[in-house]
Order: sequence, then C-alpha cells, then structure tokens
Amino acid sequence: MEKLSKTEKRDLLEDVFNSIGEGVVVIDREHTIVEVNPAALELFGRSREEFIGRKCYEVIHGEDAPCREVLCPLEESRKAGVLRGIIHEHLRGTGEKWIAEISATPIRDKSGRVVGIVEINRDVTRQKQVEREMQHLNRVLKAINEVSSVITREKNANSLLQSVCEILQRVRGYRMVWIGVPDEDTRRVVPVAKAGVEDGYLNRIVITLDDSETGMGPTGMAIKTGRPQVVRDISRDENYAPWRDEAMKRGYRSSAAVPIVYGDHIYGTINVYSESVNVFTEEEIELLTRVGEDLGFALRVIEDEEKKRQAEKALRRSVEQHAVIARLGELFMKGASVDVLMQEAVRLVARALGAEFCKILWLEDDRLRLIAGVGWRPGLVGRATVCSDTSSQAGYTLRTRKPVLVEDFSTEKRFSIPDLLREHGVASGISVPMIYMDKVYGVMGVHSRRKGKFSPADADFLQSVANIITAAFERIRTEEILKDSQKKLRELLREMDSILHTIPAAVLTTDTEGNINYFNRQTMEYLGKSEGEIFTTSIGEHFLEPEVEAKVREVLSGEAEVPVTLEATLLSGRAVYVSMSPMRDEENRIDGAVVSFVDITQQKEAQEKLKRAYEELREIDELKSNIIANVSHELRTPITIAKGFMELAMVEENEEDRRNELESAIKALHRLNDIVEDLIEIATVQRGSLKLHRKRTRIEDIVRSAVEERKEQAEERGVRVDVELEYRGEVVVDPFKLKRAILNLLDNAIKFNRPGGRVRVEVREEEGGVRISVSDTGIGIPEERLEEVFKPLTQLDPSPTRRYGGTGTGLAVTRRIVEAHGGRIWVESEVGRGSTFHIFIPAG
Amino acid sequence: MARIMLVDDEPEIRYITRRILERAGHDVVEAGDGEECLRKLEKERVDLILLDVMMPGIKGWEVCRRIKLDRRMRDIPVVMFTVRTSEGDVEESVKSGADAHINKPFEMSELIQVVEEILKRKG
Repeated sequence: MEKLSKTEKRDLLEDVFNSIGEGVVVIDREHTIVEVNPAALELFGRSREEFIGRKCYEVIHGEDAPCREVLCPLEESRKAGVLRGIIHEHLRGTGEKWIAEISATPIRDKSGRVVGIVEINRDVTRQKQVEREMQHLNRVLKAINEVSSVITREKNANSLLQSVCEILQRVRGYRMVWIGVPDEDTRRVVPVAKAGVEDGYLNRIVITLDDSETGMGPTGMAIKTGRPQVVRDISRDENYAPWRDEAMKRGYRSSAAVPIVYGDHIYGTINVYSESVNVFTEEEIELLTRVGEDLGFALRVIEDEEKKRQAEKALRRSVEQHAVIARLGELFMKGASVDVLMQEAVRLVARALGAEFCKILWLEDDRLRLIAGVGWRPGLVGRATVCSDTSSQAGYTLRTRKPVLVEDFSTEKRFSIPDLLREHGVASGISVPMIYMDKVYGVMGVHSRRKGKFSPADADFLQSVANIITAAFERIRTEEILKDSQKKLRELLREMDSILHTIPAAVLTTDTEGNINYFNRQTMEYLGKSEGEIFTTSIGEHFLEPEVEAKVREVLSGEAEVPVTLEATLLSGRAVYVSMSPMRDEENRIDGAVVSFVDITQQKEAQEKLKRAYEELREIDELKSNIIANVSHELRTPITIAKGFMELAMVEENEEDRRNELESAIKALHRLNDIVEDLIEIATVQRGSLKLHRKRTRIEDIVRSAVEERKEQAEERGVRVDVELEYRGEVVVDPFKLKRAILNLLDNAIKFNRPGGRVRVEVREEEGGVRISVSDTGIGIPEERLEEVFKPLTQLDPSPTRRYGGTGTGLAVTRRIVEAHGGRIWVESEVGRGSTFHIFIPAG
Repeated sequence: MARIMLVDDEPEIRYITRRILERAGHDVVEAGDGEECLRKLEKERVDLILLDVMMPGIKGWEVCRRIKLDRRMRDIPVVMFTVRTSEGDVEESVKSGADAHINKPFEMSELIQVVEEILKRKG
C-alpha cells in the first residue's frame, strides 16, 4: 500500500470503524464512553445518545456487571495491557441477552500514559450457545460414560438405577431425576430411584398405565409408546395438568421421559426435570435415549445375571443334595447299618439345607420315636416320642402321606406345634413320610428357628433322602432275612448233603441242557470218576445206552410221565436202575432234572436166579403134572391089573386059570408095591438128607444080592445079566441104600433093553474106592439128555414106563445115594447101542 | 355079539379086558399102540373101539381124533378107557370126539354095561 495521508488514514480508519462487525466502544479514563461504532449500537441495541457521554458501567456493563468489581477493562488495561477473551453477558435494550467476547486495548498517549481503552465486543452469543450446548452435550456424554461404567460395575439393579439417577442429576445438572417402573398389578408407575430436588414430589403424584389423564403424561406415554417424550414447558403443556402444581412448586419447568428398553421390553422410564424451559435438545434426547437403552441392556444383563446366579445357586444346591444322596448310597453299599445310615442322613441333610434341626421319627405302635437327629437337646435322641395322630405335623404327614411344609408354625392351622419343637424354638420346617411299598415306617423332618426357611424344592430333597433311607432299611432288613434264610438253607443243604452222601444210591442233578451240576459221593464211586470229570458233563456220556440221554431230554422237556425209570448200563458195565424227574422253580418252570441210579447187578442176578428158579418151578410144575399123570397112571395100572385079575378069578371056572389069574394079581400088587416104595423113596430123598447107616460090608455081597433080586425080571424080558467082580474087598457103606442104588441101575438096564439084550455089572477097584458099572444094550440116551437122566421123574419118553414099569425116580435116587456116600455117578451112552452107568464109591 | 378093537399098551390089561369081553360074547381085536390100531382099522371092520390114552407114540386122544376125522372110521363108536380120570381128562375125551369115557380101575360089570349100551345105540 502506498503511504496514505493523515486525512486518508483517518477516513480509512473511520470507514473501518464504521464497518467492522464487532462492536467497538471507546472509553476514557473516567469510564466515559466517547465513541461507539454502528456495530456496537446494533449489538447493544441502543442509540448513540445512550452511549456517548455515559459511564460504561451504566450502559454496557450492566448494573450487576461483574466488571465493576473485577473486570473493569480500564483498570486492567492500566496494569496489564491488552485484555482479551473476557466474556460478558449483556442485556439489550429489548431485554434480550447477548454474549460478548470483549477484548480491551489501552489507548496510550505519546508518553505512554493510558488515556482510555478501546473495547471490542464480539457477539459470541451463538458461539456461546453452541459452546454451552457442546458443554451440555459433553456433560451428557460424560454422564453417559459414567452411567456406562456404572452399568458395567453395578450388579444390583436397584443400586444401578439409583446411581444412574445420581449421575444424570449431577453431571447434567437436572433439577430432579427419577426412574420409574410399571407395576402391572396396580397399573401404576412406581418410582424406584431418584436424585436431586425431589421434596416428596413422587409421593404426591400418581402416574397410571391407562388412558386416563394420569396416564397421558410424558412418563405414561413413554411407556405406552416406547418413545421419548418431552414437555418443553410444564406450565403450558396440557397433558401435564395433573402434576403441574406439584411440579411447579418444586421448580420443575420442563421435563423429559425416555423409556428404558431392551428389545421390545420396556422396563420403565428415566424422567428428568429441568428448572428451565425448552431445554431438551434433540441431541440431548437422543443421548438420554441411549442411556435408556444402555440401562435397558444393563438391566437385562443383570436380570440374566440374576437368573444365572439363581441357576447356579440351584445347581449348587442340587449338586450338594446329590452329594448327600451319593454319600448315603455309598454308605449303604459299604454295608453300613441302618443306624449309621440314619445318623449320617440327618447330619448331611441339616447341613445341606442349612437347618438347625433334622430328625427321623420311627413308628412304634402308635407313637413316633426320635431315633436319629441333629440339633436336639442331648438325651432326646432315642428317647423322645411324638404322638402319631394328626394333631402334630408328623402325624399329619403320616396321614396325608405327602411332604408337609410349614412356613410359620405360629400361623399354621392344620396342626399344632408339639412340645419337642416348641421347646427348641422351632418356627418352620418340613416333614416327609417314610414309606416303602405302601408300608409306613416313620417321618423325617427338618426345622429352623427362622420362619419361611424352606422351599418346596427342599421338601423334594428331603423326601428323596427319606426314600433312600426307607428303601435302605427295607433292603437291609430283606438282606438280613435273606442272610438268615440263606444260613438256614445252607444248613439244610448241609443236612441234605450229608444224607445224600450217605444214601447208597447215586443222586445227581442236571441243568436244562442235561449237564451235571450236582452229584453226591456215590455218583463218583459209581462212575469211577473224579469231581472234575463229572461236573458239567452230559449225563448221557456215562451210560452205554443212548436211551438215557433221550429220556433225560424227555424229562427236561416236561413231556414225560414222571418219574421216568429205565434199566441202563454204566460205561464200566455195571447194571443200574435209573430214575429221573424234573426239578421246577417257584414259577413251576423246569430248571433241571434229578437223576438217581442204583446198582441192580445183584437184583439182576437175583432176578435171573428167580427167573431160572421160576422156570425150574414151572418145569417142575409141568413135571409134577406129568408126574401126577405118570404116577397116577403107574399106580392105577397095577391096581387095575390086580383088580381085573381078581375079578376074573372070581368068575373063573377053570381052577388052573383061576390060580394063574390070582398069581398075576399078586404080581401086579408087587409091582404096585415097588412103585409105592419108589415114591416114598423119592419123597424122603427129596425132603431131607439121606441118612446113611454105614457098615463094613463086602461089596460082592451087595452086588450079587441085587442081581439075584432082578433075575426073574431079566428072564422075563429075555435079558442076560453078567457080573464081573474084579474087586472083592470090603467097603464102609450103607448096604441097604447101596443095594437100592444098584437095583435101580439094574431096573433101567433091564427095562431099557431090547429082548435078548445083555446087562453087565462090573466091580473094579479104583484109587480111594470102588467103581461099579452097569451097562446095557438098550436104546441108549442121546447126548443132550445125558444130564437130565439123573433128574427125578424124568424119562426120555414117559411111555416106555408102561412097557417097562417104574416111575423114573430110580436114577435120581441112585444119584442121591451115591453122592451121600461121597461118590460120583456118570453115564456113557450111545443111542441104539446102549448105556453104561458108572458109580464110584469111596472106600470109606 | 360085536367085534371090538382093544387098544392098550399094557399086555396084562389087554389080557384081562379081552377075557371080560370074550366072556360077554364079543370078538376082540388087539392093538398095542395107536399106530397099530389105525393100521388095523384100515383093514378090518369093527363095531367099537376101546381106546387107552397113555400109550407110547400117539396118545389115545389123538388116535380118537384121527378116527373121527376119517370118513371110513368115524362112525365107529370110541370109548376112552384110561387112568386119566380128572374132569379135564374127561373133557379132553369129549373134545376128541369119544363117545364114552371109562376110568381105570374099572368094574368089570361097568365095562360090559357101557360097551353094550354104546353098541345098542349105534346098532
């Protein structure tokens, strides 16, 4: 710029002075305003006349201007120099307030003396406003931050709400802040926290949740709509009518209510009051809304935390209770007695439920005895009794068979408190019935001196424990009974065992497959095997016959008619008689078989003998019939003949014929006599032993005598009898019997001979005795009949007797006699040629 | 006056009986056993047979049965004549078809009586 002249400079300065936006005021040393620019006039809202010549503190610095006391720029500039940045509120002529930022510069003369100041006022109203708003917002933000940190810190809902109120009130400077929550029951909003100047306001007002006038205020609407509500001017707002008076009394001029929300859920409202009107900007509302949301979230979190805590508490409790039950179960498993179990139970339950008293009452006749307990006066446990009728809690429990929870005995109507509880100061409790399978054993209970100590969940726990004890009691008792019966059973088994091991039969049992699972001692002996070789083997293995296995299966199937018996043979060859039948369990199902067998070898032999004896008897019987036939024939024939001849003789005319006939009759009678003798002989011989009357005799004499006696008979048949006596010595024998024996041999030899045949009698000496042989040329005896001929009454063919006479007893008699002498008799024979009978007689 | 076959294995019984029958005016043909009897019956004609039971070879009852089965002989009356005297024995005689049964020992008169009665009946 060029250098300007003074005038130009002054004009320029004047232009500047008149143009600048800031208000310039020139003041002299005496505080008199000497010059103002148009901007100042506008700013201050006054005319020039009002400024010029007047004192600054009268015009621009206001009556209560602090500059008078503190900030007189004049004074200050005298000292300090340029002052800047002083903020001062002015009042315009119109009454409007405006804010100036003042900077004052001292005017110095050439000597440097301050002759005045130039005060420049800049309108910073807007700026200040903004600043204020910023500040306000900052405060709000701060408030929010504080609230946020409080939210994260506070775990308790109520104290959180309270803290938020306090923070908002303090930081923002609201006149009053309160938080209300809706109460569904009363349909009102209930204050739960407050801060600031409340002065009983909340007690005086009623805010409802309905559509009445008390529900149309900001709080109510906020809750209804879920949106923030602002009342700019309480004195003017129609909807605020119900509370206006009370609000105004306490200096509340404007209000806002923001909902505390989480999602859809409105917990309540934050209600703030300011002493100024029109104070709530959008931003503030928005931020308050944020607080509301954060608070809502926090409350939700707290709620969740609370729920979690409750859940944890419940879980802890459940775990603890389960631990109690597990411990009791463990004790039971280890075989603890019922007493121990009960002691532990009452102790653990009292601890788990935090109860001072726990008890188990056991039913004895009509009273309940305290048999286990904790917390009671010493000496009571085991002795004290409670009546079991419904007048007591215990009795009542017994009757109803359900847990009974008493919150407060003093107000309990169902029954009265028994002495036992009263003397211990019991106020509440639970009692549960101890029932097992419909049988009542007693009552278990817990008690506390505090009222309402127990919950229904506690009652469930107690019932669980009671059930365990009852079940354990039952089980222990059953086990005892079982042990007892097992003991008895073992004794019985031992008895049985000893019986089974003494009886002579083999007794064993099998399972349903036929495998041996029990056997007595005899079985081992019979089978000749050791224990290991018998156990679990199949029973059929031990017998030769496969039938045994088959029969066992039949028995096990239940289809056999029992008992099943059969004869079988062991592997050793021993014959046994087996008997088997099924074993049944309590449900009548077959669970095995009982098999016994016993040696029947002897019996079998006896049977055989019996059979043989029977056979023999039958033979004998047959023989008997034959014999009878024979004998009767034998007897009757000579009788007939004798009789016939005699009858003939009676009518015979011829004398000689008559004599012959009579003779024939006599002969027949002789024959009869012989037969009778023979028969008697047989009878005697059969019945008993042969009695010998031994004598020293010459064998020769006996033989010759016998031959002589049969001479006639032989002649009649035309049979020749030769005697060869090589030995003529003596023997000690019964001569009559021996003769008889020889006579019989001769009879046969003669009888069974052919006409013109020969009979030879030889007597030889042999070592120790004498051999007599009688041989004939008769019909002979077939080899297979050689043995039989010595049996009495046997004849090869009965009929030859008719021809030859005799009963067939001869040989048998002969044998008896020979054997009685200690000798032997035997025969050699050839059919068609003849027979030779030999007898050997010891010399004696 | 009849021709009587006498069958018995005892010679002495045969002798006695023959004498009795002959005295009563009958003719007698003898046989020593059942076979001889049957043999003779084929050739000879007789009016009555006196038959013993207990004989060697075929018993009298069997002989009787055979006689009664044979067309040629069955009309000839047969009288059993035996020591077998029990009820069962008599029944056996009846079963074999005999016309009469006489027990031994017998009365002479009884024998004659029975024989002549039978002869009369059949005659």
